[in-house]
Amino acid sequence: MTRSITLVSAVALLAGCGVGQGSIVSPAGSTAGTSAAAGGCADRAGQAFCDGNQAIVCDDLGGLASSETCDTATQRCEAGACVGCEPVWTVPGAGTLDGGVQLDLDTAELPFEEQRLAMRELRLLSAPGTQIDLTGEAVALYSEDGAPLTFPLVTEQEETLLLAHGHTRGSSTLTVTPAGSCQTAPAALALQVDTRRPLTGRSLITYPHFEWVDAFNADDSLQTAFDPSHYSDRVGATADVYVVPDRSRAEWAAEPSLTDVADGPVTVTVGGDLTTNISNVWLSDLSSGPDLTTAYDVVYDFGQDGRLDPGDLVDGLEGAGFESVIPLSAPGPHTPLRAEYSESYWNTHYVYWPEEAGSLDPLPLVVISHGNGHDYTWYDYLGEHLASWGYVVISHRNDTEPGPVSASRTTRSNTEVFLRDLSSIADGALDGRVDRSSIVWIGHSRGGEGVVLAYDDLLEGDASEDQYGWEDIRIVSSIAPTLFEDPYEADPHEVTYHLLAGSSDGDVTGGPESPVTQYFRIFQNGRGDGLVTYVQGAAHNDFNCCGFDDGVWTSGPGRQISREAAQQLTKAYYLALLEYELRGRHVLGEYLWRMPALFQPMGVREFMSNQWMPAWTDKRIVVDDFQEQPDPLVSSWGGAVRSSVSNLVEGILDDGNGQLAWDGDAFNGMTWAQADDPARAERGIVFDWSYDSPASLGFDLPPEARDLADGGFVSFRVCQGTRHPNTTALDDLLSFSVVLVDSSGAESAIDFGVYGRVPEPFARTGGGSGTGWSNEFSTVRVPVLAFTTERPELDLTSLTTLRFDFGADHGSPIGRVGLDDVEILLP
Amino acid sequence: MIALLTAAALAEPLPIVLTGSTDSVEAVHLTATIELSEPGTFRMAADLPSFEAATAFVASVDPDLLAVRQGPSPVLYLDARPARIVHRSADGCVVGFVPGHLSEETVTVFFGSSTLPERVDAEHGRRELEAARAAGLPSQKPGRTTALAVSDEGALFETVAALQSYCDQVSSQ
Repeated sequence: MTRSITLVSAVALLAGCGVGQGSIVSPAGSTAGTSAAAGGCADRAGQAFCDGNQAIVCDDLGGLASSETCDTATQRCEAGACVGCEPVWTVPGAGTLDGGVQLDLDTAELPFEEQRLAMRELRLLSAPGTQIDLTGEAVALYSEDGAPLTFPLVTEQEETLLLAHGHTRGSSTLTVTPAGSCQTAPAALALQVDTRRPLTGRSLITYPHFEWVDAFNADDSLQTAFDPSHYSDRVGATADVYVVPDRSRAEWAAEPSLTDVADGPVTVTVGGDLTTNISNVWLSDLSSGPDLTTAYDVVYDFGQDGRLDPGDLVDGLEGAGFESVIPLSAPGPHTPLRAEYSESYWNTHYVYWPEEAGSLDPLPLVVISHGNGHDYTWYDYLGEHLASWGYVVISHRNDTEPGPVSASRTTRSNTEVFLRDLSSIADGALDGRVDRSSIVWIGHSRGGEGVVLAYDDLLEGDASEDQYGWEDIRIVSSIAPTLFEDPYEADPHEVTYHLLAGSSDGDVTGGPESPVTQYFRIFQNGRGDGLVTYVQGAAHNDFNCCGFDDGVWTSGPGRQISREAAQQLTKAYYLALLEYELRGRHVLGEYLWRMPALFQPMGVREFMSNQWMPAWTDKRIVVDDFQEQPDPLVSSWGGAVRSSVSNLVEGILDDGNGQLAWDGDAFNGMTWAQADDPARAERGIVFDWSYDSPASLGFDLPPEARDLADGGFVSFRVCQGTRHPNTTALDDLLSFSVVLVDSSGAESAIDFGVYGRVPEPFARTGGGSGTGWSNEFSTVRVPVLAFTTERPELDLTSLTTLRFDFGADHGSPIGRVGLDDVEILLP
Repeated sequence: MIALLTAAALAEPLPIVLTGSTDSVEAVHLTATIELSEPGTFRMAADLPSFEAATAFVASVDPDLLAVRQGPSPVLYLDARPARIVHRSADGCVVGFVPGHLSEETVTVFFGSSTLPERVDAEHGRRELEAARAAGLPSQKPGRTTALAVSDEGALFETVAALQSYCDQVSSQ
């Protein structure tokens, strides 16, 4: 049972009818009588009853205490009293019905017992014979036992229970025509169906006030919130908030009882604005089990009865509501073992695996290919870490001295030999225990280029192996790779490609001074999921145990991080990447796309930038990627671009002169493309704004991005322009506002800095005067639904414009940026 | 289209820009002819030649030119052949080998252009050697020659690596 609110028709209120269930209504128009009623009291001493329209109350001696005839135009007799005859809606879990009832969109087709968990109960009190009509296609209604109801529906009892299921976004209306002679006006109940909103997250210092997320570090606190402008019927209602171990929908249907495992349950009464609805429901460290993540659901129990019922709000019906994550760099539950295997000089590798491999499902294989002058024995930290989390890892001798093509051959051959000789490696402990269709290639330096070349060769048929093929390679990852070969050869194609690099690299610098060191070009070549983890202060050999300190070859005031810190980070991010891509732990994807300035794995506290370019699918809508139309005022799909920014230039993201000193080169510090290949080169724009010249840049949205009611993200890549006077003047992280505008002109702006700002280029010198290394793009994702927080007037079904606003009122007061890949990511 | 472009790029000869000078190679201490029972593949060359014999060497060179880089580095040649470096010490002692037999009388050890050894074909090697001789880089007589035999390429690496003990002798002299 849940607490409820009732709705009566306005006419009924004006007529002076009762407003509550079971209330006694003043007998306007009723007439007293005794004759027929008196006889009925003989065997009903002390009772009240109805005899037709007669409301009769008997005294304790069986005599008549009172009798009245109800006015059937406005009243009916109920339990021996005349009450208003108007139909009354009762909706558990609602605080007000002035704006109708909000239903979460639920498109799953499930058994009724599971389906009903996302439904709302609607109770109608009315005389039997009342007619209910349904208009609109958004809602289906069911009886309590799950039978679909057809309309018009004529009630048979005083109370009729309907279960409303929102299966299509939009609205429906229930209209009730009173029965018989009751002449009150028909009562309408509006039902709105919209995308389900999550509940868990963290408060933000400014609009949109709350970030709804699923991943929490185990040392975080948990907050919950919902937007009363969306769930308007909840305002005024009271709920107990429970955190419970995650249950599937079927499990919830079988066992709806609630037992809080956090600090509560916490009791909240829904206020009229979001900030008053942010609740601290778990302030101490989140409990974590032995697994990498521990999943929970959150329930707003509006019935306050300790059960999940229709009408309650739950985050976690589909999947988990949220998950707490232990330190990703911590050892896993398995005991890592190591052995050396050598089939020949070049086919020699260390093998790492979990001691318990024999009792586990076949395990993914991770192959590590070292760089030039490095050694295959230098990656214990990563091999043992991944083995402890259930991966088989080999780190092989890599023939890098001739070059990355040679390295690619040893990557291929070691993978081949390992899979071929499994029965004789480690006494056969891994025979049959390796998932041959789940291979990850990680290469460092020349080895980092080699793994990409190896994949390209397999895919294009320039090489083949007996034990595996290109389709078995699930991830290719490069740590600070070289780029000797033509990018057409160092091409990740559609495989998931990940790049890890550091700004204090004294060897493969990532700077513009040589094409060989411009590794971002490999990333730009990919068409699959593409990710970059860029670490300020990490040197080339921080990613192995024993290489020389190349960081001493760099200069400038930027802080170099320790090898230990770099390896903590490497362990954490690789585990997140592998678990996300190979084991479907989607919650860990948040470490890869949320701004690291505000969200990193436990134990990692470094300045970083993340990029995540999803694979090309119809879920990715380009607003402007600057590839097709050279005119900066025309977007790549042909839409208009309106600009008041300064020094706007569109072109290839390639530094023009190999120097980093600011000399007017528009694309100074860009190392993402090569200008001598304009047909395929990555393009973007650069521009700036100043203290006294706030500016904006607006893009017409393409037709397929004008209805974003399902949510998704506004996504783009942005970097600060290294050594530009505006960047130097700002000398800080940077942000600006993202604005969505609808066809009526309503708009909503979010300063993306609330999710984390874009780093300043690393404070490294060299490459001419000034301080600042090459430009570091960060992917920024702003949730679409966040734009409607407390701004329901923004119509997400009729958007027209995506605009960026710059200046002190919108983020950083001054700045110089590069911008690329302005997109909408659909859910 | 892509293949054609790549082929065209490969067809262009690599530029010759010698890295070393006349005093970059101080001495060639030892050469050793090594016969292999099973042929190996020499990967420090574009054409991946098969070889059944190799010439190992121990030399003292400018240590700055030996530093391991990920980017292009000066290629160390013995005559017209890029050398596989198996060991290098901080003081400039280098141990390696090239495929085939070299003259036991004199050998030109020099640092050629900075590139990737896997891009060096026989023609480019000859051009590097010509450029070195034109620049006056000297041929040198090995301090000692010897002959060995091994089973295969793996054993070759082990045998050549063992010559690094000779570096210790050199540095102690």
